[in-house]
Amino acid sequence: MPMTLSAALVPVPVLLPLAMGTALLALAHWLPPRLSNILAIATALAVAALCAFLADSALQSPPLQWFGGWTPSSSGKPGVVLGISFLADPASAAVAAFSALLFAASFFFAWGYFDEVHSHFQILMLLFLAAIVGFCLTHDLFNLFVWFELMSVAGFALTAYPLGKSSLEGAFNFTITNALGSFLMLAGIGLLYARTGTLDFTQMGRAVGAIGTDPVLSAGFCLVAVALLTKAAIVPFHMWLSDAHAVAPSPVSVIFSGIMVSVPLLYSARSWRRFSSMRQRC
Amino acid sequence: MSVFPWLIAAWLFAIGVYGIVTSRHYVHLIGCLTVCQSATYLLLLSIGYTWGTGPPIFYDHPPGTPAVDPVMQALVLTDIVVGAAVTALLLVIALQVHKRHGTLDPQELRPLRPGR
Repeated sequence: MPMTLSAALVPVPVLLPLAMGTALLALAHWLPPRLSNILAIATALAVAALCAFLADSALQSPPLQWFGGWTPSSSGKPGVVLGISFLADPASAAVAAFSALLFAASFFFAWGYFDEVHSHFQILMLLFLAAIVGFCLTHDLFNLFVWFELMSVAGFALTAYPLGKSSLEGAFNFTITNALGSFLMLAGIGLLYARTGTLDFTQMGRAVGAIGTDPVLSAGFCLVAVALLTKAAIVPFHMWLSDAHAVAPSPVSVIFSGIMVSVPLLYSARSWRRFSSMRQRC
Repeated sequence: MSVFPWLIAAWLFAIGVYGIVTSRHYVHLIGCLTVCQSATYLLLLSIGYTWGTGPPIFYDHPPGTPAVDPVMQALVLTDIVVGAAVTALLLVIALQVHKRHGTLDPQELRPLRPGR
């Protein structure tokens, strides 16, 4: 099957900031800091344009990419999905485009913000951007967890970035709370896999619809939801928010309030839709 | 599948959280966090395990031989890597906190506490 242009482009908005971050890290000692900021702004704008293009083409048919050619048919058994896929549906690609725009604005704002300029801020922010875009586009539950963790780790490091007294303590509380949340998410993913036998979203939705009401599925869904709501700082999981937000440098706070707490909400809404087929059968 | 791994995973998570809540030292607290994380390893491995089967390596026996679920083992491996990154980051933060305050007691260190 020939791959369309938009399907081939699906992984690029994640790979681009990762590659640029790696290049900046390798060249950090030689590049003038201003140039790395310009490169970071250009990367964020390119990611925004790519995601907007994906969102636009998703209005006709959502571009889907199976990595390494592991399509559902390649497993040789019906109903067995071994591959990992990225799917750009209109909503997720549009959210990814918006977050990339916000990153570009934040880079622009950070131009004169820090007293000492290192490229490490740009590198961590590009890693953060790649994680958020990957989180939006992935179509596999465990892959979602990996992007979720990458997003968290980049967030922890960025909170502590000024290495001031209070920012270090705020980052510590933030890390402990969110790490506990992500352990719960992993346990939930394990429970969901134990019942449905798949990690692919489409296949899992089908399996959940076929199984109907089941205590293990409900427990798995609750655990995943707790992790997402911890990240989204919804009461009663909001304890870390004041510590982290107040002490994080302002260009990072923009990303925290604007994107990091709202993207998990988008996902919990979607997984709620996926699991509502179970509810209707009650 | 026996119920013991589930109970032990819940117990490990509970003592880890108890340790985090009552901890008076950041390094001890980070250790408790890894105890919590080992609960997830145990849970995932027990979900993928089937009695009387071998490892999912098929080079010296024919494909189709019963084996434990390799997907769960891949998940645990990824989890260990992620956990190592988080622990390393936390230890670095703890080191920097100690450099600036000379203490690692969470009671002494409160972000946003006025009058410092």
